[in-house]
Amino acid sequence: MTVKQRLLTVLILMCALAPAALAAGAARNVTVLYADRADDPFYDGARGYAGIYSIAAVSPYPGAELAIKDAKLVGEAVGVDFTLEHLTLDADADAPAAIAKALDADHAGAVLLDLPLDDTLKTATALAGRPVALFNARHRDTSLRLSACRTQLFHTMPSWDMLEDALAQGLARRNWRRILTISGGDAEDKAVAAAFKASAAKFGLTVTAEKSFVPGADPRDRDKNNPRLITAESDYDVVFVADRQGDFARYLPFNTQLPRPVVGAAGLMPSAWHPYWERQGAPQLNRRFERAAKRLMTDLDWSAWAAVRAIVEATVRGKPSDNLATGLLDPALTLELYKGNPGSFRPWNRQLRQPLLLGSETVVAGTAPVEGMLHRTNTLDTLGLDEPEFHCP
Amino acid sequence: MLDARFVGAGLALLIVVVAAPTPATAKNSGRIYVTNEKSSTLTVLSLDNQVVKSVNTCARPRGMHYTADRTALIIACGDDDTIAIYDIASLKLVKRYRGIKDPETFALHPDGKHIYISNEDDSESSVLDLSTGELTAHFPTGAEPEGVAMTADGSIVFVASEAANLVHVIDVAKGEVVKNILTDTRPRRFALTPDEKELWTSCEISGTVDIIDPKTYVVTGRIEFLPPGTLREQVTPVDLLITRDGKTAYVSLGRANHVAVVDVATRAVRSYILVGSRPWGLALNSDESRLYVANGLSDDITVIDTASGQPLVSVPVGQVPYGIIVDDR
Repeated sequence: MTVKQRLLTVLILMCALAPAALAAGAARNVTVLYADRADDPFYDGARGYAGIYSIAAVSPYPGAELAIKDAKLVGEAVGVDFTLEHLTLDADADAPAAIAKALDADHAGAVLLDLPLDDTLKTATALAGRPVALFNARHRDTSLRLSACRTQLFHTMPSWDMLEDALAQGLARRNWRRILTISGGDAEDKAVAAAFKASAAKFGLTVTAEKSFVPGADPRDRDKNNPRLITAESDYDVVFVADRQGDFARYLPFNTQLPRPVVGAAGLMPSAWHPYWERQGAPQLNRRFERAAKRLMTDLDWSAWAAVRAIVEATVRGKPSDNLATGLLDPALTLELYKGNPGSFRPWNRQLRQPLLLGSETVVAGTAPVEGMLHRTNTLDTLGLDEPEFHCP
Repeated sequence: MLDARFVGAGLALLIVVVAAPTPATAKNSGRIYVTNEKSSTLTVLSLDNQVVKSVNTCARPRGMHYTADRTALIIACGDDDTIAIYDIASLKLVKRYRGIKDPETFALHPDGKHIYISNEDDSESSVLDLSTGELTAHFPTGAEPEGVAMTADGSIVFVASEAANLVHVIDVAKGEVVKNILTDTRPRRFALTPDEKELWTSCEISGTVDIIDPKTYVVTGRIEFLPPGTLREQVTPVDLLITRDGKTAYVSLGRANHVAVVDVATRAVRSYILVGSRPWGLALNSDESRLYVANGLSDDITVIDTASGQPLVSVPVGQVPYGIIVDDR
């Protein structure tokens, strides 16, 4: 099936369902569109040397599928039929146009944008006036929360400022307050390091030194590529590392000059989800996902699941006439996120409020907000840009 | 004919084994039993709150009830897909039913023979015939079914689905789910008022108790909780009990580390009692003078004097205590 044929199918489906929804007593159809792109480099993965290591992101589509499956009975109870449509754009397709075409003008639906950052922003901007809720379940960039703040784009993946706030809270709670930071050279590494620096200041940590690394083993660059030399200077309690590629970070633990823990891109890492999270009902969600997808649930999977879960919950709790985006912003929304606190969306940037996990590869060693963290309205807003700090440009 | 008689005799034998595995003296053992889901043990305490012994059980024991004759404990073990029966007098395993997918809790039908089980990982409620070991019915539920409640005549069974925010109503005679009731977020467990006019349902994530009319299947009321010094999001109600006179309800509030005492008639919270960390399971002794609270994250139980509303003592048990039975009559 070509993309055009698929689009046509979606349109026909929507047209066919519209009159049915008007009939009294008939189940209302709510279609969630899952839009991704063929040959997306994000899913290419980075091959490690000799194949021993690769950070290959895997499509979180099964996360969205699981949430739709979970919604079947509750949909029946309130007369809503939830369906998921998978729309894969051609590698060179214009994303906003293709997605706009797939949405019927009168159809108040939702779209999960599993697209590169640029496509995500463009689509959100192009569809800003439509009664449709868009979801970013993939990008952590704080900049996207700012640049898309006037659109209908909701975010279920936590942003870097939230993740680094969680990490900084965890360090403050342990009283590990003197931090050496090391960052790679690419733009994301720099943004992450800057986010951590801001979080450290917010929660009373001290950055004792800021270093950068260069990948490789060139002896002329040894002060930039040798973990011991980079970590040899002044004393510190913890080493923070920002490394999107991850190949420097993974060799950093146990190779620092001083016997200190590593956090950030290796060691203790902040995340939205963890396959070994054992509280708050998480084992059940992890097992259900694993049975369906035949692999462990990642934070990408969880974020896609949470997006569909939010769509379902806002639909089930709202009136049929309600705009979905309005329902999602209802302060009374209490989303079950399997992380304890009820989830809801921040009205100032449509970011999902959520607890975050601090874990290594094998264990969740802590959660944030940490115990004792207080906030005037909701402790979850101690993670990330709070309303007074957020200025929509 | 002969075959049928053989089968009948076999069945009768099984019933004898299940229903009367020990002498009647096992009744009123004067002991308190606690299932510990992480250490897979059963802690046995005396009525003066001393740990008498701890015995290993099947894996991840959670829901626990008496058999109809009160001489044995039926325990649901989620991690090895088992319903097991332990004789109270000897604390020995007398029977196990395997292949029951991830059972969490269950309710015993007044016929003393059938238990209605929530199969947490399988999104269904199944019915086990204790006399034959057969699963006689399966009812589809939303994901993560947990609490199971039954009317006293055994005609209607309620099952809460945590992930779907639904309470499923099973009509036993019809053998089908006749209604799915939308509740507040993450419904967990039930308490029926003695007159069966109200079904109280704890909703963990919304921090509420929804009151359902068990005849019309409509949510007619909602109770909110906020113990002093706690935040709304820490209030995660799970277990609840209503006293025999139908006047008082106890609700364990999970992360808020308190038990709420509620006036059933007015639905007003009378008081909050501070207990251990993440209280879930609740049990009353026979004269309802003592309330026992299983604190899942501090591995202990708190014993409360219900007259004064004061906690008397906290006793360490196994890892992650879940269910409690007080066998004092």
